[in-house]
Amino acid sequence: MVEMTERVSALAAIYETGTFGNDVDGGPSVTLHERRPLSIVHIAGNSDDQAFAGGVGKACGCALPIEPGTIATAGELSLIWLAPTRWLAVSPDQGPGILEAALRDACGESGAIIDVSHGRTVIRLSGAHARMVMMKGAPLDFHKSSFTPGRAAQSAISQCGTLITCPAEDTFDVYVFRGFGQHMWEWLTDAAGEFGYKVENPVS
Amino acid sequence: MSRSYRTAEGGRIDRSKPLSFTFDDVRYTGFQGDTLASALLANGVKLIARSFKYHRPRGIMSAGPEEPCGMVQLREGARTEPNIRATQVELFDGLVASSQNRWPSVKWDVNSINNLFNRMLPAGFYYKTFMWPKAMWMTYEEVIRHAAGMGRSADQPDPDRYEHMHAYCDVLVAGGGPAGLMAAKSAADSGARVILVDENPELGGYLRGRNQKVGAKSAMDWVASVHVELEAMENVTILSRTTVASYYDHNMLVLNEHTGDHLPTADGWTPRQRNWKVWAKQVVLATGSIERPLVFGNNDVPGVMLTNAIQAYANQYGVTPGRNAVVFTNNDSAYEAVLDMHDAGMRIAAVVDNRTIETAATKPVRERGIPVFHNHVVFNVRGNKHGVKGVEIMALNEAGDHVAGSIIKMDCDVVGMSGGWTPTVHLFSQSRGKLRWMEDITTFVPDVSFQQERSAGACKATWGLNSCLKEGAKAGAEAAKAAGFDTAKPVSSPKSSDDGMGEIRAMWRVPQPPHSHLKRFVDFQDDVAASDVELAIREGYTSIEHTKRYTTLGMGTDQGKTSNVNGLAIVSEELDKPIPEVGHTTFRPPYTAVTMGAITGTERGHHFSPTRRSALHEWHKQAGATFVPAGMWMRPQYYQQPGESMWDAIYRETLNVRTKVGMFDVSPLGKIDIQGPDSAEFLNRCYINGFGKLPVGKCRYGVMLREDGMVFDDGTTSRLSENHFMMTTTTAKAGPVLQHLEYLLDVIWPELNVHVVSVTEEWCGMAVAGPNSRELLARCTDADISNEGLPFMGVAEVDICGVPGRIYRISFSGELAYEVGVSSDWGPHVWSTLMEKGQDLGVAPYGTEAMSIMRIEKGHVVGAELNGRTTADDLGFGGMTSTKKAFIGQRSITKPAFLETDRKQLTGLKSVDGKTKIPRGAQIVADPKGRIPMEQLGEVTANCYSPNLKEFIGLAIVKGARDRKGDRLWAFSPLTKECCEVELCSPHMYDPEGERLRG
Amino acid sequence: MLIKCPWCGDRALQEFSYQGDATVARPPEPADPADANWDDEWYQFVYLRDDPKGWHDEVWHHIQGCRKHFKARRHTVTHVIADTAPMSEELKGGDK
Ligand SMILES: [Zn+2]
Repeated sequence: MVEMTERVSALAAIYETGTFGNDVDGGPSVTLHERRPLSIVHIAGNSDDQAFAGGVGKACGCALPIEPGTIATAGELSLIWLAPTRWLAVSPDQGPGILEAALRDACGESGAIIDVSHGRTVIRLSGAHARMVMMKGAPLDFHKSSFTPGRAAQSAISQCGTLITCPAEDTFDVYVFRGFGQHMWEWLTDAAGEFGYKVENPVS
Repeated sequence: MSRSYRTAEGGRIDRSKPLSFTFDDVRYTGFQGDTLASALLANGVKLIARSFKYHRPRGIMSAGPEEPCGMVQLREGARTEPNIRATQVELFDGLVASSQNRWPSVKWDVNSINNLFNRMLPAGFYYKTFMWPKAMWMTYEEVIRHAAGMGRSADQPDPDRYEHMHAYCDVLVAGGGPAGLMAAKSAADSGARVILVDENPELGGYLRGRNQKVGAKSAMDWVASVHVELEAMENVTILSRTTVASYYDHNMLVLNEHTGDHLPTADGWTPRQRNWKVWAKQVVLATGSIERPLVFGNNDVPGVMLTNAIQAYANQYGVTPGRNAVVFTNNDSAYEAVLDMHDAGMRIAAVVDNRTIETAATKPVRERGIPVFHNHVVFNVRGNKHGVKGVEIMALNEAGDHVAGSIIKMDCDVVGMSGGWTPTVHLFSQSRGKLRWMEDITTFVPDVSFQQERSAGACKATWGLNSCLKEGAKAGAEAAKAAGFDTAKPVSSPKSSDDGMGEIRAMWRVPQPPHSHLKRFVDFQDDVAASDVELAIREGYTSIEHTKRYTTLGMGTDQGKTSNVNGLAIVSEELDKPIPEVGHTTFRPPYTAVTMGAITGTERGHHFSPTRRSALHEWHKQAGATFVPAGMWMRPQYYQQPGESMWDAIYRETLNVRTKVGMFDVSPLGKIDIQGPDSAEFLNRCYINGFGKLPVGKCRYGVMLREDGMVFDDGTTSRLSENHFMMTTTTAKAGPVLQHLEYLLDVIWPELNVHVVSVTEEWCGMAVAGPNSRELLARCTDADISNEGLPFMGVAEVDICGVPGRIYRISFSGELAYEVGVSSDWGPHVWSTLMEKGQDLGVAPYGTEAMSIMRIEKGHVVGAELNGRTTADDLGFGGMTSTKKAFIGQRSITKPAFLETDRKQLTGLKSVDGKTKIPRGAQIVADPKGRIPMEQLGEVTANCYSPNLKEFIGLAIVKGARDRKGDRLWAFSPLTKECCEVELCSPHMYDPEGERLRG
Repeated sequence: MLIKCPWCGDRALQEFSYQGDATVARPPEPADPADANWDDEWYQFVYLRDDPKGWHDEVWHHIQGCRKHFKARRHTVTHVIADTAPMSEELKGGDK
């Protein structure tokens, strides 16, 4: 029965597709959509511990990224470096508890595996001016030569702690705690207004 | 004669685009490319403002950011802004400006009477006159402020949009003049990421106002070609209309970009201004220099201008600020300007040069038939609010310290003055760089750098175009190299001429004939004359920082750009001390004023602070909740039904929990997931009570201290498995507690193998409280939640309403209660299902107010009692405190002050007469009619009417309260004058034995 | 300011939270609770901090980044940061 219960997004009440913001020549240059539904698992452990690192690798299909600010991927799953002992595994929704259980089974007693699938709102921005929108928000170096695809960084936008990843050229995923989801959506769309922006349907 | 002062041709304005604007309600026309100042001068408007203190008529003095006089009130209504330098306002169609600092009009200013009595307004006037009697200060101040004024700020919310930007680069170049352009080009060619910042709409710096050549091209054609080149490079960002306002630590610079100020209004989402924070590996300062005024009699009459400004108006804007000029100089740079002025069609009545020896620069001026008076000075300007009428010239004596001979009177309508050039070292100085005084050119120059920066060009006293280009190229290459671009080298600079300002003859105060008392202004914006500085020194203000504050020298919004050096040179002469010994005042950010809007950015209105919403937010909204901010969270305060008052709703919700069942959204409570083999040991060290022996499937209430022994936070922590715990914190302390735990694990006990992570947002928490709560939950889960299956303080993993979740048998209300936790996205489904299934059981939501009443009834502590000054024992947790283990704060609580029996302790309060409410935030005293000051025995931390106990109750922290049960004291609020006699009682006022919650 | 997190690299000041003096160590549990020095030691730890002019070793928390604590050697007059290091490592640089 569990599969039948639909997950309600933090943005459900305000989400509206369409074209908004300034009417600019050439049309909107920023596109936004919510990434959902996702399975998100917080992973904590010692990367030197083979049982842990090997287990995560096995469950995710890719090795733990050890270099700060990097992402490892396996198909549609990303393993994002958060801290020397913390990572976030993100994939399209695999069903309640599935990814968490896979990781826990693979790691055994090592490390800490915590399902946070419902605890984050993830917003994807893309387009020619997505980088400018990010520059308005976070004190990070978003230059093309610096924040390249495969990079991740945690910082703050509008006083909210965020995880920002660059999955592809001119594309950014902004992760915030679910409770800040609506605020972040409003803030980002407001910042994108200058360039004209398009909101598309949510997709994981 | 035509009123227009526009030249027939020339200038970098677009004569095909006339723009209409008004100044003081008179309509004028200017052109695209004008500033407000150039357009006013073109229309023959000389009188712009009244001065700050004496209300003297003032006009335009400069053509740049240094302008101390020509400040206006710009725009109208909500967009109006005072103190805007007309010299930096780009003209747009429909611009509205007015003069400020005048009443009723700039031409007939009542307060200009101050000028007649100016001897009554000497330096330190405020301090002297208005310090006695003290009580009168407020009155004086009001009158003075009204009279002085400095324009007015808008009285409506700012309708414009402001933003912040963040950027990193290898090399930031401040200034787009010749040196800055070459620096940017050299750095960019090496591959370095360059940000070039320039305050004007057009690059070129001082070249915009000159008729110079770079190589074979006109200077501005060269600028345009470099601009195109730079713009094509991916590694270069050019920010025009942007001021480097501030230079902070670690090479962080704040830029103020005027994205929309040149537009009638910035529409839609386009910001009016952006504040940039830029972190640069290396900085090149190419900020140029500012011409210095000369200090002579009535040098503030409208029409007395910096010579380079007259030149710039002629060359750049096709405006001659007068028809008949006298130029007064102490260096060569004015001669180039004189030639340009002459070529623009101005008559030059004379050049007055205080130097004795004729230089090469003189020759072409003489060739044009312009008389040059060497060893002479302009000691006085004749004129009024309509502008300059003429000047009075005298020769200097041999020593050069007195005027001699007869007075030469000469008619003119504009006076150019050039007292040499002051390198713009503001940013260098802000960056903690040390300045050095150069006596030969009478100015401070950058000496020792502190941060990763270098100066190039005129801001380093390098005069001459050729030298500036070369130096810029070199600085750019050096900066890139220092940023790690090893191959960087200076790009070759086109050959240009290289004339400087030649020898300079310092003359800080132009002498006047005996018995003259002409006002010789040093600081035009603050109305500080040479005599004010002299007086301050006579009165003993010998430190430059004191002189500055006493005279207000250099304290205006212009930051003393034109007055600093003259001011401190006069101090130096008066003290008979060399200038380096006098020192200089501190340059502080910002370089030019930054609007509050730009500083605030988007953090205003509903983005002032982020709003945090629970997964149930929409449900609460639909149910008619009134929300209350709690930290960043929006929490339902109460749910008012038709016909109910606020208090009706709150009491109904409270009684409903006590008699039926209520539901409360507890999602904002902090939740921290704790895992790892040392988790139990870690919790033992964090809480005052033990967690090592807590069985799996059980919760325990815990109290945490700070190291100083005061209570830090409390909450319930559950053991989910041997090495897995879930901690809850108060809403307010969720962040600080997590940080505290991380600190302990990182810094104090790195040997513990424990992982902590916030899971607050993963869980939607719902308190289901009241006698019917078990029945309600039983309808929604197959799990055994009977008293035996899930006893008080038990926790179970369950399926509820079709989704996995947890049920905790805990109670904050004091009733039989449970807390249900499900993953947030399912929260709305579970909450609505419970509401639906419990209809016949009387289920209803309750808000923070009802919760607050119930917690007071039960004597549960919250933030008001956990105020950082209460110990566990003060709050009644003494018995919980373990003596068998060490924990954070334990050693502090054995100190004598913690053991005193008359410490302020938690107590319940009851209103003695049963009718008077206990005033909020009141002081507890023995006798409110006693002598003041009276002993404060404690304070009320919470108060309410208890609809269950049907009386006014409260909680308080009172001296020795535990041994004073039954005592009668008074709760007195000096603020509201409310007073209530209270009886001290146990804080557990409702169901003290806790039978209800265990049932 | 720009602070170099030992893991994340150079980051803006606003991502960090100052967490106190790194030269002060929490006293170990005393072997003998009646030890007279113990009280003084504890008092020093809880209440007393130096306020040096010059180089100072501090604990910082990359609270809006990786959330790790680390040490920094900062000059209290100029704000120059000579070095940062994980808690387990020694700081270098400055004139210490
Ligand atoms: Zn970090």
